[in-house]
Amino acid sequence: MKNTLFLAVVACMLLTSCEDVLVKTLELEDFEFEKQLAISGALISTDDEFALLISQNQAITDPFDQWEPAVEATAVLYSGDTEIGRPVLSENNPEGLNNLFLLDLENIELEPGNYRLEVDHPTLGTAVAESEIPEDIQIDNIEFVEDFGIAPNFLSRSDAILVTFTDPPEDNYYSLKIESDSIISDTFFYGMDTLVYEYEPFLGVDSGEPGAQMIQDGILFTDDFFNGQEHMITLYLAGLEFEEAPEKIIESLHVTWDVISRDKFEFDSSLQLYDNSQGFGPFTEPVTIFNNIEGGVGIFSGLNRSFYPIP
Amino acid sequence: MKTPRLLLLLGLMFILNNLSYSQETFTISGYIEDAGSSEALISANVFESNSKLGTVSNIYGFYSITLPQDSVYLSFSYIGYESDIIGIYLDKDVTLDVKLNSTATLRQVEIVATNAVKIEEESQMSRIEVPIAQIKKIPALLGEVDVMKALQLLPGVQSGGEGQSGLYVRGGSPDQNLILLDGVPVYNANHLFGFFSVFNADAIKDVKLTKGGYPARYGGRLSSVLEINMKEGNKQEFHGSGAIGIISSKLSLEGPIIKDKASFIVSGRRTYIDVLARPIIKASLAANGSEGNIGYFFYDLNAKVNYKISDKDKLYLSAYTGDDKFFVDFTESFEGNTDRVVTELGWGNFTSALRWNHLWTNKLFSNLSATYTNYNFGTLLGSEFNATIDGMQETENFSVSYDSGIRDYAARLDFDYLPSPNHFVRFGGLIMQHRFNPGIFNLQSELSVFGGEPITIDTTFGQVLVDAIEFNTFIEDDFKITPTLKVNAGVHFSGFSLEDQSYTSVQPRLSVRQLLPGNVALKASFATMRQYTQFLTNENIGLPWDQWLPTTKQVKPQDSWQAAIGFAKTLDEGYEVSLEAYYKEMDNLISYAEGASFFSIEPWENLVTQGEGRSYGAELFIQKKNGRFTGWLGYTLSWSDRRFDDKNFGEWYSFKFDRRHDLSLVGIYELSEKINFAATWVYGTGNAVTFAESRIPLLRQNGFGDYVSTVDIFKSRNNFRQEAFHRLDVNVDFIKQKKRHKRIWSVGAYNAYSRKNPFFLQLEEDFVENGDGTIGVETVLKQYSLFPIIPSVSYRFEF
Repeated sequence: MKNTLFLAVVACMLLTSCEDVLVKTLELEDFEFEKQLAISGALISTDDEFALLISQNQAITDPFDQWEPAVEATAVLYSGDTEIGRPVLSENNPEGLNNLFLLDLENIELEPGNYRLEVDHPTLGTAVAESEIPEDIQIDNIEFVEDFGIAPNFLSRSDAILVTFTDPPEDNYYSLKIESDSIISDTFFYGMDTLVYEYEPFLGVDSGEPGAQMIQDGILFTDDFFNGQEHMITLYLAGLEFEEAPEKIIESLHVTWDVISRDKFEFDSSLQLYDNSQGFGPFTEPVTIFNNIEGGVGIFSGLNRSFYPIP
Repeated sequence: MKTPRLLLLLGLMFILNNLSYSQETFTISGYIEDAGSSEALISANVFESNSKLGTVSNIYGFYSITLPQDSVYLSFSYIGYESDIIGIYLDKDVTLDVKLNSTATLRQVEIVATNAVKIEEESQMSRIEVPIAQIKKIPALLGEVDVMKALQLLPGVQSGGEGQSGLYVRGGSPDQNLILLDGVPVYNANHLFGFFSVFNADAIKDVKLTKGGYPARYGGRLSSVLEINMKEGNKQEFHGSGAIGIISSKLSLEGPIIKDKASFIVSGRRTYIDVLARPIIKASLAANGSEGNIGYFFYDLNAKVNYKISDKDKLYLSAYTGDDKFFVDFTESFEGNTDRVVTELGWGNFTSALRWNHLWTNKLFSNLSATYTNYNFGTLLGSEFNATIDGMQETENFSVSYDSGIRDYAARLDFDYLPSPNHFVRFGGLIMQHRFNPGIFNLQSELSVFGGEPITIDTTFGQVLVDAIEFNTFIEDDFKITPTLKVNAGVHFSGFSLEDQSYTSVQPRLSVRQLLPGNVALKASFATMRQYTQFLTNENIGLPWDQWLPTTKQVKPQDSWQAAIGFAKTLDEGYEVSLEAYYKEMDNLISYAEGASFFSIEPWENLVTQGEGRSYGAELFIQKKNGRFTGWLGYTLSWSDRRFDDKNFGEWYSFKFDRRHDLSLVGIYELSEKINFAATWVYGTGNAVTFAESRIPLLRQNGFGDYVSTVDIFKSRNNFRQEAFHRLDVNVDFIKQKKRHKRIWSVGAYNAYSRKNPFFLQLEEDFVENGDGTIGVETVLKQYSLFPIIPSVSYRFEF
C-alpha cells in the first residue's frame, strides 16, 4: 500500500509537470492609461519661428506607426501676461517638418523673461506650461589650441577649444557645442579621384568638465562648481584626427552657446540619459523623462542662443 | 549628550538593582550540551523555581546563575529536548555541566519542549529562531533544503521574487542583512543567481534572525542580523548523513577526535548537472565538428574542529568555502586551423574563524575570535585562433578578464558577565580590515600575421583597490528591574576609516518588556544602526557581479533608526502569538543613478546616488511549537518607500519590494513515526516595477535641424504592480529506521497548483487576423513566469 501510494504520488507529479514548460506567458489586459496632450517646443532667442509639436500620448500597447498632430488643439503663447501669438498647425511646411504648430516671430523680439504656453483641446483638456528665456551671458574669449592634451574619454591627444566666460551669481544652465557648417571638398587633393562632395564632419567633441553631461557635439552643464566666477571650459576635438582635411574642418567650426532655462536643462539631461540607456534593458536603471506640462506631458522651454566663430 | 545620560542612568539602575541582592550568594555555572553528541545548546533556558529567577546559555552553551544560599531546584530546558530538573543545596559556588536528551531519540513527533524559553519572558523583540529540524521538513525547490527560503516564510521577511533566496527585511534590501556564519560575515549568500543559498542545512546547528530592537552587540547593517552557527561535531561517536537529490548530493561526517575533548564535522555539497550533461554536450558539439564542454556547477564545503583545552578553555576552528562556476570552452577545427572560444564566470566565498573561549570566573566568560572572509567574482572571455595561410602561421589570441570582490580580516573580543540573575551584561569590540576591489580588467592580446613577429598587448585597468578599517565597541545589559519589567539597554559605537576620511557613530539601543496581567508581554524597542559597506545592485536584477563597495568621502554611510511596539503571549495549547508594529527610517541609501548600469565605464562613485527610505507596518506571528501538528502563520501589512533627489523628480516612490500584504502558512504534520507531511502556502502583493505606460513624440534638434523621435515614459518609478504572488509547496517524508541507518525518501512539489507567478513583464508584438482577413500586428503586455509545478524526489540517510 505504502509503495503504491509513493509511486502514485511520483507519477502524478511527473505527469502534471510535463504539461507545462519552464517558462509560461500570460497576456494581461491593458492597464489604466490616461490620454493627455503631448507637447514639445523651445523658444529660441535667435529663431524667427516658434515650432511647437502638439500631439497626444499613446498607450504603450497601442500599435504605433507615426505620430499624429492634435489637429483640434489651439495654442496661445504669452510673454508674462501679454499674448504674443497663436501657433497654427502647418500640415505642409516646405522649410521644415510637417504637422508642427508654427508661430512667425520675424516681427517679434523674444526678450529674456518668463513665457507661458496654453494649449486647449476639446477632448484632452487644457495643458499649461511656463518657462523662461534666460538673460544672455556673453563668452569672453575663445581660443583654439593645437595638440592640447589627452581627451579624457577618447583617450587620444587632441586639439582643443577653450571657452572662457563669467558666470553671474544666480543659478545658470548652459549648453556649449562645437558645430560645423557643411564642407565642400575636392578629393583631388585628398583622395584618389576628383569627386567633389559635401559633408558634415565627425567632430567627436570631448570634455572633462566636472559635472557636465556629454551631448552630441558638446556638453550640458550647470554652474554648480563655479557659481559667480570666471570659468574656462575645455572642449577637445577628439574625432578630428580621423578626418581627411582637419584644417578645412577647423575653418568650418563655430561655437553654439546656449544659456538655457532650468526646464531645458532638466529635460535635455533626462533625454540624454534615456538615449544612453537604451539597449541595456533590465541592467539599466529606468530614466524619468522630465515633464513641465501641467495637464499634459512633454516640455516647453526657452534658451538664449549665440553663435561665435573660432578665431 | 543624550548617550552619556543614558549610560549614567543605566549604571545607577545596575547598582540599585544589585543592592537588593546583597545577601550571601553563590554561583552555579557550566555548560549545557546535547547528551548524545555533546554539542553546545544555544539559548537553553535555566530556571530556578523557588526564586523564579532564570538565565539562558550563550552561543557556546555556557550559563551562569547567582542565587542566595538555599535549596535550589534548577530546571534546564531547550527546544526539542527533554527538560532536566536538578535540586541542590547551594552553600558554595558550583560547576554544573548539564546534558539534555533530544526528544528525537525519544519520540519523533515532539519538536519543541513545552517549557523552553517563552516569548513573553524575553526583553528582546523582533527576533525569531527557527529550529533547523523544522527547516529541514519545510518543502523546498527541487528538494534542496534552504535556510534562507525558510526564513522568507517569517513575518517581516520577504523574498525578492520567484525562487530567489535574498531576504528583504522590514523594507530593507538584502545587503542590509548582516549574515554571520560562526560570527564571520558572508557577503554573498547565493548560489545559481539567487535560486539557492550557500548554507548547507546538514552542517548548521542554529539559525536566529533579528529584524529590529537590536541589542548593542550587533552593528554594521541597517535591517537585520542573521546568525547561523555551524555544528561542532559529535564528541561521543562517529555519525554521518547524506542526501541524493535531483540537482545535488551532499555528505556530512562528524565524530570525536578525542572523545569528550575534541571533535570534527565536515560537510560537502555539489551539483552535478554539468557532469550528467557532459556526454550529451560533447556528442552535440562533435556532431557539429567541434569539441569542448559547457556547464555549470556549485559546491559548498563546511568544516569545523573544536578542542576542549581545559574546563576553562575551548578552541574552535571553522571554515566555509563555496563557489559557483559557469564555463564554455569549445574549439572548432577546419583544414588544420583551430578556433577556440573560452568563457568563464565564477564567484564564491571563503570564510574562516578561529575562536577561543575562556572562563575567567564563574560569572565572566570571554570569546576571542580571529576571522577571515573573502568574496570574489571573476569572469574571463577569450578566443584563440591559429591558422596556416599560404604556409605562413597566423595567430590571434585575445582575452579579457574582470575581477572584483571584498576581503576582510577581523579580530573580535566579547565578554559575557552575569553578576546576578537579574543581569546579563555583554561588552566587547571588533576591529576589521577591509579591502575592496571595485573591479579590475586585464586585457591580453597576441596578434601574429603572415608569420611575422607577434604584436602583444598585456594591460590592466580599472578601479583602485580601497583599504579601510572598521571598528566597533559595545556594552549592553539585559536586566530585570522588577518581576514584570525587563530591559535590554546598551550602546554601540562604531567607526570607519579610509585614507582620506573617517566616520564615527554612537548608536543607542533599548528594548523594554512589561508583563501585563494574563502573562501578556508588552514590548517596545528603539535602535539606531549604521552601515559602512554598500552593495551596489540594480533593482531589476541582482547578479553575482554586483559589488560590495566602501563608504567614501563622496558616498556617505547609511543610517537608520527603528522603533517597534508589540504584544507577545504563549497560549495554553502551545501556541505563541506575537503582534508587532514598526516604523523605520533610512538615510544615505545607495542606488544606481537614473540611466546608470554596471556596463558604464565611469568610476563607480559617479554612477550612484544616495537617498532616503522609510518603511512601516505590522506583523502577526502565530506559531505552534509542539504536538503532531506544528507550524506557523505569519502575516505582514507593510509600506516601504524610497526618495532620491535625482530620481523620480525627487518625489517619494514605492520601493520595488513594497508589499502591502504578505502571508505565509507553514504546516508540518507527523502522520506517524514513518511519515511526515509538510506544506507551505505563501501570498504576497505583486512587486512594484517601473513600466512605461505610454509613448510621446518629441520635437528635437541636431546639427541637421529639427526632427521628431518618440520616447517611452512613465509617470513615476515603480508605477506598475505585478500580479499577486501565491504558491503552494508540499512535501512528504517516508522514514524508515534500518538496522544500521535511517533512510528518508522525500517526495515533494514546488508550486503544486502551477500558479503562473510573475517573474518579469515584456511588451511583445503578436500577429492577429484583422476583420478583413489580413494579418495585423498587435502589441501586448506579457507576463513571464519561471516555475510551473516542479516535482522533486530526494533520498537522505543518517547513520
